[in-house]
Amino acid sequence: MFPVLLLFPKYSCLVYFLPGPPKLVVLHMDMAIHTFDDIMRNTENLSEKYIIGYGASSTVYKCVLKNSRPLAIKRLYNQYTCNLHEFETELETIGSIRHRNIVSLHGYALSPRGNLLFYDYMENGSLWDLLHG
Amino acid sequence: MVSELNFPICYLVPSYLVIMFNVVSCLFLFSAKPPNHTFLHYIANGFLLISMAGPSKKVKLDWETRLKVAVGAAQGLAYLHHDCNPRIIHRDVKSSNILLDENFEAHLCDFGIAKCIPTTKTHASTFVMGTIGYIDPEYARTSRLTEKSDVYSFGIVLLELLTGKKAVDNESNLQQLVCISKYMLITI
Repeated sequence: MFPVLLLFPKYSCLVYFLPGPPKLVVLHMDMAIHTFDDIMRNTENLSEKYIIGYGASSTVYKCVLKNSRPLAIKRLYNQYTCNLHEFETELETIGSIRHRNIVSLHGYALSPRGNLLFYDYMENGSLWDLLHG
Repeated sequence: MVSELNFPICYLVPSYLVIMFNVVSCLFLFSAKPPNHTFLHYIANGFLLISMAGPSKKVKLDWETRLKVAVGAAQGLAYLHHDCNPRIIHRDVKSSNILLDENFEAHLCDFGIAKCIPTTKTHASTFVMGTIGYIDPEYARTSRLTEKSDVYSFGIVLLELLTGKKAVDNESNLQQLVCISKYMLITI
């Protein structure tokens, strides 16, 4: 197991320890609780079909789950150490805050495919896309 | 054309400029659809400062929505800067990091290079990070990070919303607008 010391103090969350890799998912959703396997099944192991955007160090996928709002999954590439730092910074900052104008982090996972962060999916994309897309 | 000036922003902008520069008189020509507007900033000495004619393309955001997005993003930033302990500096405020939900409510995202500053400190000294076109020149020069750097980047987003232009483009950068305003403030 990977030691994970980061906590989400403001709202309860559930920790799943699953047999074999991937190791860990922390998720708290309003309507349903999902496991890593569910998410992988729904996105066909993060298949290219579900890609909705690219960042400098990450790829973002859309995942539609049963009885729940769609999720955006940000996968940070594992091979660079700066990405681990980015992952930690995201958890330290939006892991513990909540505001209607800040995207909510619902969970995270450490997996061999990359470190994953789970957010609400935003229907209308980014402001840049709307202004210049 | 003038009769179409029915949105508050049309009044806000000229009055702001008049207060700031005192000698600047502004002529705004708006068509009903935001991206097709023409901005003419006319200065008393006859020097035409800038003229922007947005290309006519499909309208996706009306003025009311743009204002809502601007207010939402500002509230998100204000929360990070004033209500969080330690306070959080986003460092990468830009239009591509503002996401819009089904109701066009703004949500800030991508906190990968955010920086926490304890309330006991006024600033943090860091490696300069951010996005070209949005980065605060003062922060770029001094490496001293404060919440004001985020406010500068947010200002560029506001200009983007207002003009429909990209922050960095081949022809002109929005930063030039900031420099021109700053120059005018000094000369007055």
